[in-house]
Amino acid sequence: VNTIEYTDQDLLIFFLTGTLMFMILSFIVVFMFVFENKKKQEHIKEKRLMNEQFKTEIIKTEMDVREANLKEIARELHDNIGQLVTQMKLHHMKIAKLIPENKAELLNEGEEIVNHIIEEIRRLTTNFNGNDVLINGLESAIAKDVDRLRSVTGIFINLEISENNPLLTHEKNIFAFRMYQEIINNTIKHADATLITIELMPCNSKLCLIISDNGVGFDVKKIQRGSGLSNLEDRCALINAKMKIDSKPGEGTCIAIVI
Amino acid sequence: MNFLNYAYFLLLFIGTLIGFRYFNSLSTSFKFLALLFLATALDEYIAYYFEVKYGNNSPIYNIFIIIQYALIGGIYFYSPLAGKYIKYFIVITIIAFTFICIYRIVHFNKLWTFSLKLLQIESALILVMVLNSFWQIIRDKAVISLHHRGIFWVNMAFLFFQSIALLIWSFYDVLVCKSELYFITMNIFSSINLLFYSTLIAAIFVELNSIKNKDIA
Repeated sequence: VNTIEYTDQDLLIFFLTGTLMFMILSFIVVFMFVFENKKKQEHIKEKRLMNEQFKTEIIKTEMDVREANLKEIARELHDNIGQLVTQMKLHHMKIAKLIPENKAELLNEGEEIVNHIIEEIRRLTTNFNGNDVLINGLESAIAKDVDRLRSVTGIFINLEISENNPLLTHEKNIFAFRMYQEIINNTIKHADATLITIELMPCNSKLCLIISDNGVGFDVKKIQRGSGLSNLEDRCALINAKMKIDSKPGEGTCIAIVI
Repeated sequence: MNFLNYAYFLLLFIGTLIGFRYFNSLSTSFKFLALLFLATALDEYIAYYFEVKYGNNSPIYNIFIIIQYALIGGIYFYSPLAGKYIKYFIVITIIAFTFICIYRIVHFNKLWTFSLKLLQIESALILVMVLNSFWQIIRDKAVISLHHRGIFWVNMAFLFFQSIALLIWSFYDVLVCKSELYFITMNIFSSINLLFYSTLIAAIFVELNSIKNKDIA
């Protein structure tokens, strides 16, 4: 009887050990697959991050190259064409001394045109090399540009610059100015607007640049992503800025950028 | 011989055939697996002959257990993920295990009997290698799906088979007392044996596929 009892006890231990063993084996297998899944997720995350970094790096390089090209054009305009036009002006002045005053009217008109060309070259040089933004700040650069646009385009431009706007880094200032230029150029070219409002104001320790117009507007969902809009999006991505476009056909456009 | 035995012999034959058909394409680790298939097939055929002729096949198994452990050790020794310490462990345990087996036969003159203790030791040692291999897979920085790793399937096969073998050999005396339970257990064990060798064959194909993909990459 003792032997049977002993065997039954052993059998119980056998079954218990077997059950425990299967539980351990199952745990090992489940652990392996859970860990593998975790590793895969981490890998995907890492890959995505690397892709984003790579993309940002490419956009940044593109922007740097574009900025360098603009600077080069500005230098060429100033050093080469600017000098030639100045020489032309001096030449004009020399001719003006040689001809009688009653015949100088046409020459004076020519001189005015030359002066205008010099002014335009100066403006382009300033716009292209971005030094004005770096030296005088974003607000001042935008204000100057708005003054020029008012006289050139005849569009009513309302500029509102708040006080105590947060200070941006040089890089962000340049980027913000380029974005402003891109939006204003598009508005003048395509919007057919009579009123443009530009606002620079602080919002939650960030700088808000809002440009709105009363032009023809467009359907935001249907708009094709051309180079203008892509440039804006790329620049925003580079400086971690957020952009919101609000527009409807016939109801104007409002673009807000938070930097 | 019943159906399970025929299926077992057939699987060993197929495994050997596949292993040697693709022998040159296999990694060193899996070459040991192919050799294990060949050794097991030869061992089982000779053991069957001994059983029929002498009514005892213990001498064959006494020799085979040494070869088997060395070949399994080879699989894990040459695994690309094997670390320094597990390699030491494998070499030392192969030497020690061989010594114990030979000492038992020579010193105690037990060629015609077979010790379940040896099987238990073998299973426990193999489980250490398997668990270490799993750990190395977890630590591996390469992101390869588990089911695309040949060694993973080898590990799975050995993990389940050796755990069950260890359990059965540990409680063998208890099971023998209960003839019905013994009969059921041994039949289940034979079925698991078939599943074990089928998984090892599948592991060879997985390994071949992974080598092929590596070459393409």
